[in-house]
Amino acid sequence: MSVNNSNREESEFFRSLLSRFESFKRTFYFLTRSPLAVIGLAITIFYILLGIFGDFFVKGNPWTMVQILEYKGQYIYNTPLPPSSTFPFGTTYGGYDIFNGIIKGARIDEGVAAIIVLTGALTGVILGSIAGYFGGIIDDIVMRVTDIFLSIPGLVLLIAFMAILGRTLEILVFGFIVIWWPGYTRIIRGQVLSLRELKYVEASKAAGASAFRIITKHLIPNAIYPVFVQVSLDFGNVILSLATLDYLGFGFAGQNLAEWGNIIGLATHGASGVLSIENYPWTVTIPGLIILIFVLSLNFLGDGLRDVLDPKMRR
Amino acid sequence: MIPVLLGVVAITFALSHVNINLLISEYEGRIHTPQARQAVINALHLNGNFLEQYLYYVVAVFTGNWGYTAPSDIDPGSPVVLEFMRRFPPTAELAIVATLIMVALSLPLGILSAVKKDRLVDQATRLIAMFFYSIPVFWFGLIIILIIGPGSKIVPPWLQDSGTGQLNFQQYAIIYKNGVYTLAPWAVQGGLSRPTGFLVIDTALYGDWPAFLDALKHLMYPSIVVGVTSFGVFVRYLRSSMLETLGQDFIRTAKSKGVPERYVIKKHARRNSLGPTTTIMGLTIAGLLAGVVVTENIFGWPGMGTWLYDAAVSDDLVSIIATTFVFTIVIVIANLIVDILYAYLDPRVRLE
Amino acid sequence: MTENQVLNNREPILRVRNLKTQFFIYDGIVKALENVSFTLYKGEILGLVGETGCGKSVTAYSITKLLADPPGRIVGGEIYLGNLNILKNVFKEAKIIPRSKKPKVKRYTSVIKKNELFFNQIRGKYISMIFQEPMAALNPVYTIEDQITETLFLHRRGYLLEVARDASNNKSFLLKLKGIIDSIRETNEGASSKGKRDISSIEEDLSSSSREEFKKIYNVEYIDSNLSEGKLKEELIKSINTKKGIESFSKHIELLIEAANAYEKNKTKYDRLIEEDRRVEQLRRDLLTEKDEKKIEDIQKELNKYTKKINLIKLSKELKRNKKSPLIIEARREAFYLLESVNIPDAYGVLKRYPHELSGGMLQRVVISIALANDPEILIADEPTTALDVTVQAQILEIMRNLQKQRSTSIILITHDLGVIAEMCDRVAVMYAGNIVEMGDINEIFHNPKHPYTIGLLSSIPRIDNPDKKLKSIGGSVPNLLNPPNGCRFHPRCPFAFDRCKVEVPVHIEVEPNHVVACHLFSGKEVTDY
Repeated sequence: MSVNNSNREESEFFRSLLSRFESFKRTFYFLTRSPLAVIGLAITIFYILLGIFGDFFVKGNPWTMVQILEYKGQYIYNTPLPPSSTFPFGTTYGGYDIFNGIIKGARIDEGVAAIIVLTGALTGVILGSIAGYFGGIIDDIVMRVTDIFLSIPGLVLLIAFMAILGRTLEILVFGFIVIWWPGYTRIIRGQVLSLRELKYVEASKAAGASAFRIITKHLIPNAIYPVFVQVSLDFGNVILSLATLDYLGFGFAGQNLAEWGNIIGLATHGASGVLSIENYPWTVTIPGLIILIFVLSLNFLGDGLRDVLDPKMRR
Repeated sequence: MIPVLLGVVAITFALSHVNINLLISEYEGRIHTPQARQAVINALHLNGNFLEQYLYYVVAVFTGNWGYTAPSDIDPGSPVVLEFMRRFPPTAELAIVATLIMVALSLPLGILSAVKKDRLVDQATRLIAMFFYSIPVFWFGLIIILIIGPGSKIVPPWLQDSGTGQLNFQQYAIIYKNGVYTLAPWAVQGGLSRPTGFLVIDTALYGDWPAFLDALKHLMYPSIVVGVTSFGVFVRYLRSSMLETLGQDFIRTAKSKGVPERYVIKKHARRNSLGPTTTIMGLTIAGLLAGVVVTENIFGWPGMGTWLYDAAVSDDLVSIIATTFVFTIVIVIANLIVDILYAYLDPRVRLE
Repeated sequence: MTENQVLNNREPILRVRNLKTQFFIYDGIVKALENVSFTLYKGEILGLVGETGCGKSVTAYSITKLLADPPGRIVGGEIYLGNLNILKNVFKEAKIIPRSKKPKVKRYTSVIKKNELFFNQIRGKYISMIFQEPMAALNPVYTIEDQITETLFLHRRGYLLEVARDASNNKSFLLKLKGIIDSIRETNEGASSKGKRDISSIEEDLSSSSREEFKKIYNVEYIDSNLSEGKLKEELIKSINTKKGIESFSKHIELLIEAANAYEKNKTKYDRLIEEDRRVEQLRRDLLTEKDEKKIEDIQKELNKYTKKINLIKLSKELKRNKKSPLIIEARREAFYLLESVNIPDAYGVLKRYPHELSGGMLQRVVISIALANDPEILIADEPTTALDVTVQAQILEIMRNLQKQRSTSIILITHDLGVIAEMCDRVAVMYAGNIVEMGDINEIFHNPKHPYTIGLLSSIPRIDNPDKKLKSIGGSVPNLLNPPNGCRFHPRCPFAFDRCKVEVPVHIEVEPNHVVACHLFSGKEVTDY
């Protein structure tokens, strides 16, 4: 009996996988209709490749920037050098090679952001689906907690965390996840609330399916689309927040951390004040553009995904 | 609202008591003797059990006993509440003007974008909005400073700005009268102002127009930074809310009555999307405040954001907790106002 | 003209000819309406029946040009309101550039705007529509009276002011009536102080002498003999005919007196407005009869000038604040009357309520009253009762029928419910996949259906008197209108289809007097006017 069941389940599984693949192909096709989404996709892929393979092309410790104290006879600690053939993006305060830092930063930014977003999304989805499905007290509690965390501005809480609990990578990731999961919980809960009234859920319940099965097999797969969109958007948002935090100097390592925001931070905090950037604009403009282009591409992609996955908007 | 408040109190409690030594040394200030330590422990009830500590903490929060800021070389530390009264007005100024800018930009563009869906206005607005919410706020602020800073070649001198602080203190706040250097009537030591604490209002109250204009100019730039970046987020919500309203049945009814297009929008659609709009505004406040914190740092604005930053840098626990708490309260109150506004705007909700 | 039309001497109000509507969506072109033609006569109720997706609603939206554009466009045909083809300029709005994969539609916004202005004159005044979901049909943030008066302000401003003026001219008569009613009330102090109850019941409490007195004045002849011809007389008679009793009548008179007083405060201004609106009326009539292009443009321009002056937002605010202007007071009174005419209990109280406070049945009545507020010639009702309970449904249909008889409005009743059609309609048109396949007198169609689809439709109705019969259905499903079948669109499901059906679109043939079919099974003379 059980053997038969598992066989059926297997073929069911493959069939559903195939249909998912089909819909994925269709999604992809629709995505390519929008030129912005294509650009976004292309650039995003470029950045991701940079993050994965970039470290092989630059020298030095993958976490820290390369520091050059003397160049052509002068001490460049306080004198940033403009972009040149040796330093494609120039150097910044402390004698750090910007280009070097940016390449390494790709990996760090993307990696940290990926961990944060995926974990946050997972936590949020699980909590949200449980809250939405069971309702009642569980729902109330989860929603209250979500409300609490959504009322605290993320940056403020992060600064507080880093200042009090310590400036380590673990605390940073923990802090981010704490801030990010409520958003997903809200999304999933909303979806589940409307989906669980549908007839096929009732039918499953009547057939004796366990709550776990209903949630994982019926509710989540259908509620997941807005989460996909949100994930692609949040990737960019997390990177922005991470850069902001590092710019302010509350990152998880020292001054020479190869992170995009940190690089910009050196230009203003490591120097003699904000106004001095007038003389050395490239220390600010270039790393910022790198961030901007990446986040913009992610948003193009996310927007394209949203247009494609929203059945109402199919032109 | 109450559970949120309690939750935040709980979180701040946890944060402040996580590192007991830090807490104690903060309250000790500069006197590091065993007696001082014991006194602090007794005052904060730190020798009691968990519940006692928590109870004392909650009472302290609600009675305004928020402790003292950390002493430093130039500042012996002051009651947190006092410091709050100093720091709050500049942040409020910035936040309010930024919100006004955000709304002024978003409202017309959002509505236009929805009404003329997929046309040029719509595509352009969406693109610009996307650009502005992909920009790191601090970077945008820095770019603005590059543009308007002194010695800039892009902008004429009268638009240029030192970019630091609310006012050119040297120039406007210190006046030479009767052979003596005194502070202008609206100025207070430290670059702040009286009576309201809002520089633009106080300078106007005293009729000091050159100072007023300078203060206004200094206020404009950081507000633009925060307002424009928030606009990117807000206008998209506005647009989709408007689109949803336009798809409703009663719009069709209005059209079938022969109501001209402009009244369909102005009378029927607009009033209906105001409700969801205020709700959305409540959501964007959190992001806006985060932008304010960063922007204050860039422009040297003496508000809550800089206070938080300085406190975090110097491990001033009490101040960190205080600012976190205040920011949260502001958001909670803002959302409360939003809920009330929503009830006013939508008669369906009023019965409750 | 066929024999029948001459016999019945019916006046055609609306003539739809070869209406062709398409939707240009991402996947291709949805050929929603292939070739819809029919004539609507004055005073008749024409049913438009068919399954979901057959194009009934699209037809309605095409007539009033309420199609969602993009993606929909009317690509062919004429619609004659009177002698005017209202679709004349619609084809200039967009150019369809045929391309191999997907045609592109280029829209000219200025032309669309101009046409919209034209249609705004027609909608609500000559052609009104009511829709399916009454709960969603009204704007939740505005009161009932606001939404009723809105259409009155748009199309009937002059009339309202004229009533106020006439009331002012006959104020003494009104005051006399008020006096009589007040005295009746006084002598029945106990009765009327029993609080706000259902209006008619109060009359029962009146002493018999009071009741006689009231009957004397609450009487068409009395009004007729005591007032000269004019708007006031019309309005009072209208109110009496609603038979709502003393409270209602008293309220109407109160409001008329108030309006008269308000009018007197600024006679010159209101007289001027009345003249203006008379001109607007004239222009509108001209618009529908004028043949010269240039003159039509001029008329439109002048009309636009006047319509620009109507500030709906200001009027809405004035209404809310109960401003004492004759227009506001009269509009409110008219809205009160309209609600009474659809049997809304406590009509005056309902005015200040919001849509969510009313039930679906009440809301649909409100919607009907709004649609008929300006005495339109045509009312298009798109599934008006589908979302309502059966009992409420019966009430609504009753109201519609009564109102229609009173005002001789022509109604196009769109529904998929054959029972409703049987009860309400004089003639019925059966639609399938964007075409009218059969049309004719109601008895003819029901007892003598010719088209295979109609036959299938009728035989699929479950019948109580034949319980053993198996439920019949028409095999197959409604065709995808992206790629409709060639020839007769019904041929894939038709049990009688033969070769010709697959290639040639059938034309409309008159098989009996007043009975037209589009099917190759029949032969006869082709008709284009039915």
